[in-house]
Amino acid sequence: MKLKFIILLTAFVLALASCSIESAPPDPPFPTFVYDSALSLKAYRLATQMPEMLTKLPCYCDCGRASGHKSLRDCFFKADGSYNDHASACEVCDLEMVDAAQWAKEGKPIQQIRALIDAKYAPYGNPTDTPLP
Amino acid sequence: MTVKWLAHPRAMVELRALTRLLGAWWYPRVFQIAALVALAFIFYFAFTGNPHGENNLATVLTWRVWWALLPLSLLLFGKLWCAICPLAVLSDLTQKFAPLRRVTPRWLREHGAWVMLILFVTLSWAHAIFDIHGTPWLTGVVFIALALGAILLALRYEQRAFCRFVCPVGLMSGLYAMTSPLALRARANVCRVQCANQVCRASAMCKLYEYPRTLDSNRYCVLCGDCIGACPHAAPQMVWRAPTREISEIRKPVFAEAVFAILLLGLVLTEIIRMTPLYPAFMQRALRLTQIDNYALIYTLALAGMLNLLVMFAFLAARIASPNWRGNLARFAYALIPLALGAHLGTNAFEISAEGTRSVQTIINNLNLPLILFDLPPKVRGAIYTMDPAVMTLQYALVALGLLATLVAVRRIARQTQTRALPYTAFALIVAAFYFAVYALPMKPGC
Repeated sequence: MKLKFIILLTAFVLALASCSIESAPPDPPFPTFVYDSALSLKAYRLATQMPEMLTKLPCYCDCGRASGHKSLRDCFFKADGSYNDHASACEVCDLEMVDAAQWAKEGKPIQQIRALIDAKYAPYGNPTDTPLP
Repeated sequence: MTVKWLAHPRAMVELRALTRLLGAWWYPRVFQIAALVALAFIFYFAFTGNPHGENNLATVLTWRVWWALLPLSLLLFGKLWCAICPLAVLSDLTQKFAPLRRVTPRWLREHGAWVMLILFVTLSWAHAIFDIHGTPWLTGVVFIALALGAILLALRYEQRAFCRFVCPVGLMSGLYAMTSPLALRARANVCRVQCANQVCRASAMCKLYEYPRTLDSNRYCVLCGDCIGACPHAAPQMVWRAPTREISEIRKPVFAEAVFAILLLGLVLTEIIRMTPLYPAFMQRALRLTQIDNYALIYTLALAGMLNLLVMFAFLAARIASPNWRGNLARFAYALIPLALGAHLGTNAFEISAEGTRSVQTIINNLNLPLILFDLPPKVRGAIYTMDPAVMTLQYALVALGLLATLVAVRRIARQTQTRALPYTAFALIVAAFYFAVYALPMKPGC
């Protein structure tokens, strides 16, 4: 009885965990810090696919003040194009990235994505000084 | 004053002033009101405050203040927190207004520890997978679920069934509280000689289903003070005793609690690893090696694997130590609690040193109070792992102290049960070696 219960529970947990299975293209050689969380990995994957879009989106995690970032791109990439570790420990950057990618996938234009990001993430903190697209 | 006790034959020091305090009319009401207000703030800010976890009162107060300080409070004061816990207050208030209740069913009384174990492990797992500590609304949902559980069980069953048999924090609290030097015990001579009516039993007065006269463990006593106020002979007294001594004197070991003590070792180790660069490096390799493109699944499998390994090694130690391995394990596993607590305190010491001042100021800022206790420079984020020699020394000292208490308890239990101590000693030393190894790595705050 107990064993059956434990097996069922384990199966339930595994099923729950596997709900987020996604087919993704093979990863580029990410640095180790990208693997800090599931959200971080997902966000870096998306950022790698659409770095240009990120230059038109502000980041609301206060990194403009703290790290001198100019846009969401700076959270994921350094000036030389290598990966920045900032977003690996910042769920705001990661969530913005995931939302922006989702809206881009839905076919929304960059101006609308910017407006949606501004509306959703304004309560989080101060944005970077990113010009409107 | 040193007296002899009924439940505990060993001498303990009576703390009369503290007993009076616990018997006062305002105790624990004043603290309960404060805790209820804090819970109200948590609910409010969880759904209306800053959505960024590290700037939100609900997440900061819950995970960086309460959760970080809870193990220390359990070591110092036993399950005192449970006396003022707002969920327990909700349970009591519910029963005041809806007095029709049934006797707690036998299955819940017998298997409550398993329910608590499963809920705690599930919550620990969900904490990592769903980033509950960084997500205010999820923190609010967790509290709503707990509050609903407390209210529904209070509506249906007598006393605090939720606290005793369901609360996911209750089992950990009870086990850690065994290490506390503070305890509530009944005076043996008073109960035996002066008490004929056994008022503490007849009225089912203890909300946690205990019988104060034979109370011999901190596991279930929440220091609510009800028995102090109810006993006409002033038998229940707060006492000072040797810390962790209770572990080797336990009379009613519970197998589920023993398993939980072993799992705690693994859950604490996982939390420490998650704060070091070892964790992303492990996840990177595991994802590549397994070719399973699912972070949550890999984490779940890794956690389950580690916990299973620990339990299997503990079972192996029990089989080597005695033919009656189940009973043997139930007795010895409690000895592992000080080691788990030492490592848990070490982890929280790092969290508090790294984020403590920021957390306090964040709460002040959320409440819009015109008070600046700490200057908060903008937070620089990234894979920033640090090594503070003072904190590291403290972590090593805490694990070493925990290990020492564990080894002493193992030796005492082995002497009492006349079984071999070596398998458990080896087991504790191996786990402690892992703690020492991961504490040598640089860390970053987990919450």
